[in-house]
Amino acid sequence: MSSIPADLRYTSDHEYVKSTADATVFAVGITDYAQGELGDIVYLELPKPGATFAAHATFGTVEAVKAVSELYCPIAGVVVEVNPRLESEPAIVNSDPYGDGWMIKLKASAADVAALMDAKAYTAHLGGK
Amino acid sequence: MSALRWRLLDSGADDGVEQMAVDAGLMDRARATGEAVLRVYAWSRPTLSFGRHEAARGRFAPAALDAAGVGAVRRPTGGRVLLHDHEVTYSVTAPELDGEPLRESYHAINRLLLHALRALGVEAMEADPSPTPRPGSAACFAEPNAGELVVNGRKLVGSAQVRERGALLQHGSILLADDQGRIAALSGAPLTPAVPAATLADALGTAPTYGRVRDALALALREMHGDAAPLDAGEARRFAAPHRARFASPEWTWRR
Repeated sequence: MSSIPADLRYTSDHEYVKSTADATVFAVGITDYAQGELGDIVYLELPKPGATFAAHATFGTVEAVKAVSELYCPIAGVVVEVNPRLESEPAIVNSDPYGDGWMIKLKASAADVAALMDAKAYTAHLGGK
Repeated sequence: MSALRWRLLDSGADDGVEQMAVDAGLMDRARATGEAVLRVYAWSRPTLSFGRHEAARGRFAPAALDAAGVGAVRRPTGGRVLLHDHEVTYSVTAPELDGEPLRESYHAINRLLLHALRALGVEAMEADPSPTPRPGSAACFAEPNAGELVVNGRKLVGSAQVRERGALLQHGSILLADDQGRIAALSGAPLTPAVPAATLADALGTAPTYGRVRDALALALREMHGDAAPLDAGEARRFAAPHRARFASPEWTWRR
C-alpha cells in the first residue's frame, strides 16, 4: 500500500501537487505509487525556469530501470523553480517523493489545483494498490 | 498484453535512423489501431545506439565513428550504449493497457523471448535484482539488470522500454556474436570493464541465422498470443515518416 498524504492533490497519471508558502506556487512531483512502479530512478530530464506548460502537457521525462516515461503537467502554469538536487541525486524521488523529491515548482491557479483529485479520490483511483 | 491483437513484422536490415523511426512510428500505430506489433530487424552497418539520456559527447567522436565505418543513433528508450552488428533486434510496440504495471509488460515480453530462445535450444533466465547503474557509467551489455535475460549470469538480451502518450515500445538486442568489446575501442574515454556478453553462438556452438531467430520469435508469438497476421512493411514505413528527421538529426543524437 503506497503513501497518499491527505493534504496533497493528485492526477490519474500519478503526479501530485503540493502547496508552498506562496499561495500561487505549487510543488509538483510523482506519487509514492508511481516511484514504486518505476523502480530505481537513474535520470530526470526537467524543464528550465520560465517554461510554460498547459495542463496534461509533457514537462519532462524520467528514466528508471531502463524504462523511460513522460511526466505530465497536472495543471497549467509557469515553472519558477526546478529541484537542483535531482540532477545528481535522482534516487531522492524514490526515497522521499513528497518531500525532497519534488521536481518543479509551478506558478499556477489555486482553482485549477482544487479541481484535481483529493487523497480520498486518488486512493479510490489506485483501487487498493 | 495477452488481451491484445498482435501483428508480426520482419523489417530486415536497414540503417539506424530508419530502424529507430519505424519503432517510434509503430508507437503511433499502436495508439491509432490498438494493435501490438512484434517486429524483427537487423542493421545494415555496425551502429552504436545511445540511451535517451546517456552522455555521448566527449565519450565518442562522430569523426572517429565515421572513420571506423560505424553509425550512431540515439534511441527513444533508456539504458546505455550498445553496438548493433551481429545480432537480431526485436521490438514490441503496444497500446498501454489501463492499470497494467510497467514491470508486467517487461515480464510479458521476456516470457515471449524466453519461449523463443528455448525453441532455439537456449536455456536463458531473468537476472536477479541488482543495483541499477546510472546512464553513462558503462556499456549496456557490461552487467545485467534485474529482469534482463542471462545465460550463466552473462547478459544475452539487452532491452529498454519507453512509454509515451498511452503507447509503449520495448526493443532489444539478441546477440548472435559478441561485438560489444569494440565499444571501448571506439570510445575516447575508458568504460567500466565489461563482463563479456553471452551470445547465441556461445550457447549453441554456432550462430543461428537471422531467419532462424526470426522464425523462433514468430512461433513463440503464435503459441503464446494466437495467430498474428503479417504487417506490411510499407505501412510501417509510412508511420515512420514523421520520425525520420528527429533520429537523423545530430542535435538529437549528440544532445548530451
